[in-house]
Amino acid sequence: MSGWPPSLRPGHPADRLVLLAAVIGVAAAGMGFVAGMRGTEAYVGRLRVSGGPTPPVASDSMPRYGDMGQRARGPNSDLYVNGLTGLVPPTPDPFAPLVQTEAERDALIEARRERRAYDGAPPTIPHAIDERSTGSCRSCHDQGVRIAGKTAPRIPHEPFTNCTQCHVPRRTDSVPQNTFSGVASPGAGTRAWPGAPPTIPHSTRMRGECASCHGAGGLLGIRTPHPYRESCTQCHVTQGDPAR
Amino acid sequence: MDRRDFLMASALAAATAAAKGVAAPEPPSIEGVRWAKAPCRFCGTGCHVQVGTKGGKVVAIAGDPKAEVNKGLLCVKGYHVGLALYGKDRLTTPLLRKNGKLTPISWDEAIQKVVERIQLDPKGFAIYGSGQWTIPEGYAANKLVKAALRNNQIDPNARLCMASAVTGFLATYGVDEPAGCYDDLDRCDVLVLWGNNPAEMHPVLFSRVIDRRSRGEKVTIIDIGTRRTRSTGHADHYLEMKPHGDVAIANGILHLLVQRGTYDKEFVERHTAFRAPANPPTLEGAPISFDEFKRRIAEYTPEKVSRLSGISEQDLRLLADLFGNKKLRITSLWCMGMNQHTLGTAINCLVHGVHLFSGHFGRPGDAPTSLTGQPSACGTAREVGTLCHALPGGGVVTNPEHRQHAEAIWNLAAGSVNPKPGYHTVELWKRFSKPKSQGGDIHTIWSMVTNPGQSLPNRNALFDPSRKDPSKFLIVSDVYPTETVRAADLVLPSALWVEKNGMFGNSERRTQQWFKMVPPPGQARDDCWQLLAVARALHEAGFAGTRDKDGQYLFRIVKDGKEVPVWDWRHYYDVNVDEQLFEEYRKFSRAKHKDLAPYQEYVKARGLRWPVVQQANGTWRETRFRFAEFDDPYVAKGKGFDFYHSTSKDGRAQIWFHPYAPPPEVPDAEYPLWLCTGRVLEHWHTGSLTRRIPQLHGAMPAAYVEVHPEDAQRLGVSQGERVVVESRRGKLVVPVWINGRGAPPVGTLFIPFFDETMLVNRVTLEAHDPFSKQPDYKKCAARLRKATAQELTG
Repeated sequence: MSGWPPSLRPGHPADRLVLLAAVIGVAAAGMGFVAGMRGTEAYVGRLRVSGGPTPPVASDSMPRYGDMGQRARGPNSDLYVNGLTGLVPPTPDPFAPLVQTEAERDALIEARRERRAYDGAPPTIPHAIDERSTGSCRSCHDQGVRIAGKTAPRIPHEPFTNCTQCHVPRRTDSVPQNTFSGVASPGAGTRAWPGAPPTIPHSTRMRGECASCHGAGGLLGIRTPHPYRESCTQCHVTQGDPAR
Repeated sequence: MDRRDFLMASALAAATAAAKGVAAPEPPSIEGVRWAKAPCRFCGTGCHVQVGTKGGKVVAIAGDPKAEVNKGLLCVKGYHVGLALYGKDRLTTPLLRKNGKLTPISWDEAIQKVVERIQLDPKGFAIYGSGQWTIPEGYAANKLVKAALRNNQIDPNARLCMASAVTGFLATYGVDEPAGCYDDLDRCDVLVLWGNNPAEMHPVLFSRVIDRRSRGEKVTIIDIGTRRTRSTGHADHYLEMKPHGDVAIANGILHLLVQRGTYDKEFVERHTAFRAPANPPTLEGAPISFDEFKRRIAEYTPEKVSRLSGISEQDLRLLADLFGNKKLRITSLWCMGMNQHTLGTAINCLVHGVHLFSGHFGRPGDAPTSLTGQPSACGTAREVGTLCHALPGGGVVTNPEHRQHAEAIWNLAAGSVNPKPGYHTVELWKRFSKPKSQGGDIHTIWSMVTNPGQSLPNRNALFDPSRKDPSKFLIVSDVYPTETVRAADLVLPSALWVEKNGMFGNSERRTQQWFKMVPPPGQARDDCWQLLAVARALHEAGFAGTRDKDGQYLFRIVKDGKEVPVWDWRHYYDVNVDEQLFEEYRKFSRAKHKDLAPYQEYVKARGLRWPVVQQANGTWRETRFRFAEFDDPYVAKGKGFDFYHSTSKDGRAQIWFHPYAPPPEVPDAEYPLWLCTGRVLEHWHTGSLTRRIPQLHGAMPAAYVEVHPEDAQRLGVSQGERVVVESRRGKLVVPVWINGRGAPPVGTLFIPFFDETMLVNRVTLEAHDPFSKQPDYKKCAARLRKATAQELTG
């Protein structure tokens, strides 16, 4: 006690203040503890309902360690949806059953059309970009990646270094009126009979990497049902002038 | 055959048929789109595009895979060039200013008005033309001025971009335009950028180099500039220099090559001579000995060069190491940084000199390559000679032989061509802006395919005064309402790009041709027709100059022996006027070994690089590398190199000594910052075309001023804040962009000039190079301050 500063020795008027502070602190900690327990109420509740200790079983409310990345939990669920773990491109399973609808296809065609002055034009970039260097483009578009329900497609053409030479973002919706009407996407290819491989209805210029749009990691709505086949042009051919 | 066999057989048959594309039913034509070739409307790279048309409109664009220049690739402007035709406010009627308001008139009235202005005083009528003129347009205009009006008052906007490159070529080789071609980009080991930003300005050429790295090749890129740009991101070394530092750096390299003895002794001894500025100064200069050159270069030590230029001594030595290494192939690229320069001729000569002195010349990959900005500054302005002192094919009006040659081709009496040069661009606009009583002897300017109201430097002095003087008349041929159109007295709506036949000549001497594909809107008509209509109206009014020495109409266009009335718009396309004018112009091209092939050869090809020389078997062979024996047919066997237009008349190229001199206006206490101006990827020149293309406007909607964060902090301005940038000449209000696309150093500002709502040319100065007369847009003294409330709203 002799080592304490004079103000803290018992009997000193400040003693009471210190004691009051300590009581408040403990009470706050206790309240905090109890409040914190609320977040795990379900867990606590379950235990209470089942009575005594239960054998460890997998349950909805008890995530496995391996699941924690993918699970949305509590107020920080955002962290998991757009989180870093989501950026690792999942290797698309070429044998996974494909479920896509006509509506998805139509929506996709419309979205693609909006970003292109005409079928074959380089699409404008629908997100902000690094003004100065193009290295960041490759980090998502080299392999292709799915983030928060959106697909960053793999680059469908041969590698060029200067991405922003052809692709520019749209910084404003206030754009001039222009009566240009670009040639539209030709839609589906033709089939010689139902079940025949459809022809490629578009030019393959700058579209040498079919899997970018049509593969297992491609754009939902136009994905191929057989992405495990590697040699697309064995069965699917373009029509018209090969120089196009 | 059971069902299974049948299915297999038919599947096989169908598969085979599909592979051969035969038995499968004919697919319907997917688009009904017709494709035809054309060079791109925009920059001097000269990419070839495939234009897709349907129902009289352009509906698609594709890169032309058969084109050597771009091999199927374009840039964002090229991919959207077709949209340039379809902005909502195309000019479609001739307009005359009556009582202050532009009112529609007929074409006949409009043509008559032009003739009236000529007849008022032919000596005071001038044509301000363009590096975006097609070759036949430029030729018709040049012939009108030089053969008919005979006042030599014609100058192009290329005076503002390429004139110093021209004088640099003339002073070094005696003849204009690069010796090499784009093939050099495929072969170089080192690429030196001298103050240009090709990642944005010549993107397809830049890609051609950097994409070699994807194939495993090693290309070292050195970016010498006054600020970091997108090109810097791809460079191995960035050498930040002060304005005019390039002159010191080039001299520094020459100095070290001498000191180390690593210049190419054999090449220098056999193929070069030395020059220095004469007194009084001339373009040819005065010959000096090699010893004299060594004496004068001695002062450009690394220490001094570092002080003058701002680059480190180590970086200068790096450059000298590279240039001193004969095993490397080095290409230098430059554009406006070196041309828009009050020492433009000097720095051009110096960079040529560095290559010649070090022997990095005349092998594929070893090339000093001046890049041209406009699609036909080479093909039209320079080669057709639409300059106040020039004649087609590289001639000059001051040379009696060149005049005689022109008079022979045009069938004019001897002495018809005026030997006195007219006014160069800056002088022309000055004379137009001054009243007659003060020496303003130009009363009318006919501006075609360009926008001087936005692009002239120091606009307040060079453009605005004439607009308040009722005796001055401005005629403008253009496609959209621009700054110039809004200020004009007479507006002539013009056809754009594939709405007319045309020919362009790009940076690598490649002349390219295209046919009209879609009709122009409303009453818009070809610029070439406008010139021929004026010529005819002059002729019918009895103007003597429109008749040759035999009394024949100077602009007679004949088909199957009969004259075609091409001045009548209904008959303009009865004949290919382009072909007729080109075939006449071709006759000028042999004189300085810029041989052009017949028009039909250009129809077949994706362009041909001159000199195009006919072979024994009748085919036409283009020349990729001039002055070099291995490729130039005009170099005799055994010579190795022959600079056959040598100014020293001995087949040698000139290595110049040019001393360093500081810029004409430098920052001081009152105006403490450097202001540099330039371009961005998305916009072409003054934006009259590209700002009407949604994808391009949307990507870069407005101009800005790039400011270094420290300067911004010191001046108390924040990101996006609209501030005033001003100089002794004028001011503009412009938003701040910190850490934007380019990164200027402390004390430097950068503003692009594409935005007509923010005219940076109110601030720039018109000081120009003494030989080329090209003004310097790249450096003047300015200050930046917060805007007043009135300035923000006003």
